[in-house]
Amino acid sequence: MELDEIKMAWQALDHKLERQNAINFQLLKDDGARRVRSSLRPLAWGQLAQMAFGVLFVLLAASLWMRAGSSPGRLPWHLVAAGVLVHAYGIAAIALAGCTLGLVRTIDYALPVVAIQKQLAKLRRLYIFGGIVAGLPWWFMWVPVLMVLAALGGVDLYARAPSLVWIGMGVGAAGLAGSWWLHHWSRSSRRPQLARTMQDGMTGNSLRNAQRIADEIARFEQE
Amino acid sequence: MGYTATMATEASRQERFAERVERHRGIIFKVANTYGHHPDDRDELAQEIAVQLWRAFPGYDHARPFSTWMYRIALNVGISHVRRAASRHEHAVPLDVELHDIPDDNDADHESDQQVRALHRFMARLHTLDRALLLLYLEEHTYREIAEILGITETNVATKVSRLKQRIRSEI
Repeated sequence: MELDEIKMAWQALDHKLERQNAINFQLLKDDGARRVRSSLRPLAWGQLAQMAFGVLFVLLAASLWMRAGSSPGRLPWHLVAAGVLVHAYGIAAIALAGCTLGLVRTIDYALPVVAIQKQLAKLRRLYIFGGIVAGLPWWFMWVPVLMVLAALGGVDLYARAPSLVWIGMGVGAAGLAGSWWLHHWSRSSRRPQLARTMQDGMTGNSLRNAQRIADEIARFEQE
Repeated sequence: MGYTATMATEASRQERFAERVERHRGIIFKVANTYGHHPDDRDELAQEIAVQLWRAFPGYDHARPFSTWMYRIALNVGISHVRRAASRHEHAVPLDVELHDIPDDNDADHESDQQVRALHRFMARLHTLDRALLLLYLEEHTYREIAEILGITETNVATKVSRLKQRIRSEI
């Protein structure tokens, strides 16, 4: 069959479709659009929550610096390191969420299709990358957070129980390595069921999907 | 007084919008039927397209063709809709071809229905962007218009249309 032969049949669809479909314009009136959930809105709320989370960590680190400034002795190196880690984590969480929100704001569906789909693919990758950056460090992050919280309560956790800190770091390293190994092990073709379950639960597949979409757009643009 | 004036402007904007969308409403239905999976999904998609059009309307440049603006938004919403559904199900959701059947009382239309059905089956196998290109071609847009809506070069459009013609010849 030739494409041009089908054109006529396709155009005859117009009146049939009109008969079967109706747009509820009433929904658009009285600012009714607000009632229809935007697909990007949950993403924006998630990023705002991540920013608030980041601010909390920056405030935590700032409290440590202020306390150090007002006390006579110098802050021990391990507390400085813990404070820097907490501070850096907070800033990274805010920055990534800010970048994602900035990108959400630039999405204008009236721009050419390929340009917008590229922007959406970029947004998806940034969102997933942000999730990984915010989530994975928690194998370790709980240790410096605990140290900073203890220091704010007047307790030097490392001085009191150095083994807790080192064991915590060891568990973190083992956990991170275990996550990586489990992710790869589960993707073996001999375990399709487990692979599917893991794919559902981990971001690796989402990241791959996002990359696949980006590649598909790039191919479409170049061919 | 200010409030009344604002309400009047808003009402006039709604009127202008509804009038223009009514004139080109076929675009919404065709895109929704191309990217929706089943009747409820298509209704939802048509409504989502209408909402996005309404939201984007204040930014519409009146010097440019309304249909081009409408196609861009409708296609962007349609493609994003398919991608969201695919990522929810972790695999591409094919078009429900049987549910795309549009019954008609007129037997003379039987052949064209068969052709459209075959075409829908073919479209369901295409990538979302290729589907958009084919839709625009079937709607008799020029290569220049297709290039403008999709944001690719005219040469690229010509190459892709030629490949699609070959595929249709061999696959339908």
